[in-house]
Amino acid sequence: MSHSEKHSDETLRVNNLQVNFQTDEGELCVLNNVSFSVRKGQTLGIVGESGCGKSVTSLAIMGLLPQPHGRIVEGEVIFDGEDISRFQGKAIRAIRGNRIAMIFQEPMTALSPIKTIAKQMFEVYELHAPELSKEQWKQEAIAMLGKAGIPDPERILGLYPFALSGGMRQRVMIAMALACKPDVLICDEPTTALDVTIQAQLLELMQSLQKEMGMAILFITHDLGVIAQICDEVAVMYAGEIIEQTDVYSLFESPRHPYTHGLVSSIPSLRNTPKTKLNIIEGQVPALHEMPSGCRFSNRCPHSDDNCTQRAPQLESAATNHLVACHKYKVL
Amino acid sequence: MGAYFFKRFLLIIPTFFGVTLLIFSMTRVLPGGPVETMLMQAQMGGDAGGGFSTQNDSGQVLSPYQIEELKAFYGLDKPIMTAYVEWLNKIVRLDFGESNRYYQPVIDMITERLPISLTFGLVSLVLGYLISIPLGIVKALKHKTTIDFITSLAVYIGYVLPTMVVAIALLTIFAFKLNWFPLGGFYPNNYGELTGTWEQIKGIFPHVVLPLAAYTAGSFAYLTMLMKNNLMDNISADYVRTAVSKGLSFNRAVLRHAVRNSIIPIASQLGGLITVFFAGNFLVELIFNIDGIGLMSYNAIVERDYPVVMGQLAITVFLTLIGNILSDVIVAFVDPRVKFGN
Repeated sequence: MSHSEKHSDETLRVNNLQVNFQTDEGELCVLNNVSFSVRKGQTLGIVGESGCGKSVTSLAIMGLLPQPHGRIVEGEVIFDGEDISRFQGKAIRAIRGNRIAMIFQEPMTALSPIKTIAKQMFEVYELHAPELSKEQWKQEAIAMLGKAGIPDPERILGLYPFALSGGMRQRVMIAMALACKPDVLICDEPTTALDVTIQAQLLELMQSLQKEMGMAILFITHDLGVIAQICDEVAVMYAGEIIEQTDVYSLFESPRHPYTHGLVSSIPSLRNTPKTKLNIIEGQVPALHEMPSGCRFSNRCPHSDDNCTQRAPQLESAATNHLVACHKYKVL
Repeated sequence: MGAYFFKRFLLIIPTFFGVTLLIFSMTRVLPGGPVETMLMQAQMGGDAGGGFSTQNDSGQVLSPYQIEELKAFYGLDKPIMTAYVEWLNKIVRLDFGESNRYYQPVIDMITERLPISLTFGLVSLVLGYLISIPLGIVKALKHKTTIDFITSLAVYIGYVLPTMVVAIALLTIFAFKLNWFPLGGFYPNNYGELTGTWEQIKGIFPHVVLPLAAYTAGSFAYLTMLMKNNLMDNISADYVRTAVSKGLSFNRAVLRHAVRNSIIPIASQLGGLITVFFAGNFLVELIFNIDGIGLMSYNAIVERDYPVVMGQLAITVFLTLIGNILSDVIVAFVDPRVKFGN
């Protein structure tokens, strides 16, 4: 996305982020030139298959890259006018859980098994609202759990996580993340571990909470169905790069990148003839240390030619608010 | 919960019968009873206990009739079950009988040595935990750093060396060569003259340091590595990441959440604590010339002093069984996921 396109209600902006991981195979580039922004009250979805760098993106924003292996090599994370990727210690901790909060994939393990919900929720207030009394923490927590759709929140506060179902635990996680009314909520596959009915309820809950509280949501998922339901904007990631970015309607109606096209056409549809073969994308994501030079998708792309294998395409504007990184999107 | 523990306490009874009956039978079935052992020692000119062997210095063997009489005297002539029931009958009334060797009540022999066991048992236990748990935490947090490597070296040396080797090494270096500590014994020579608990403790202290170091060296390796590995597992757990994403610093998230979770497996061993009343490794006691429970039990076995063997065993078995239940209570206390009964 070009810098001229800045919006005034932009809450979080990531510019040219590059993240490297130190591994046995040497230093590998896990995220390459990733840029996007999330606006107030809006939801940006990041979609891609396992290992494409979705979660690393979210961890990099939170300053939670696994230490000492991961580090931000280049780029910035602009929040509230400041580059928080340079923040350390107290400065970043004052933002974490307070102004930028995060919920994770596995509700079953994301809560400490031996502390009550109350203790784990109060920790947020203890860190970010120490001026309130314990009684106020309790009232806040009850109100927040109630908003997250938990029946009888006062009783739930006294329970341990094992007494709650996965869906309930994720509601607790949501309540905990939203406890300080953050400006940005990062959701890293929050519904992947849950069944579809619970997933639908939670997505609905997050949308209504977003409407009420106005936070920006960065929603990471590999599920295009979830993207369609919750997102305003979508960034498609492949092998550590954003290869297409647009609003959710354009993405499903007119995907420009061959990878996105492959993804969208692999969604089973009720209109298809039953028992016919599902469209798939041949091959698999190359390992990071054997990335093809040029376009990273070139070895799986049905349309690739010499130009694609030699020169890496840059994101360019294919239409209004539609970025794509492909040499051949015009001819496809 | 109450019903569960009631059941557990009831189960102590058959287990206690089983263990004691097994050992009791073994003492009767194995060749070489107390009478034979005493005769053999007498013949070899050794000093058998009591004033009773003096007539046999000439090397004459007792007549079979006399041997039978002796066996009857020690109650060895009865069938196993009858003898066991008799023994049990006394034990439940807390009558542990008299030593075959020293003609002293067994219970007195044990209580006399309790301060020694308690000192070593309790202090080495507390010391072990005080070293192991913080060391394990530091090692987990500083995984693969110099501190971790150096302490690992110490831990592995402590682990591979048997306690008695450590004991001998300590004795050689610190008592014999450097002369920092006394060579052995538990009570100082002038113990009788010391008045006041504090003076007594001060007198015992130098005698305790080396054996204590030997005991602790043996146990801290296992505990340290257990703590480190548990904590390593928990540090990478999702809930620690959640805690950090709430705004806690990494170290605080580890101390508050991961350490608490890592201690559960260690807490489950705390019930065994109750057996500190009988702590004592006879090799360490032998090396440091300490007349403790370990040495007493060992000698009782060698000398076929069955009332002592059985008395000591009965108490140890009972305490161990109680300790197991205690462990369950502790685990239920530290881990809310554990609930007993319905």
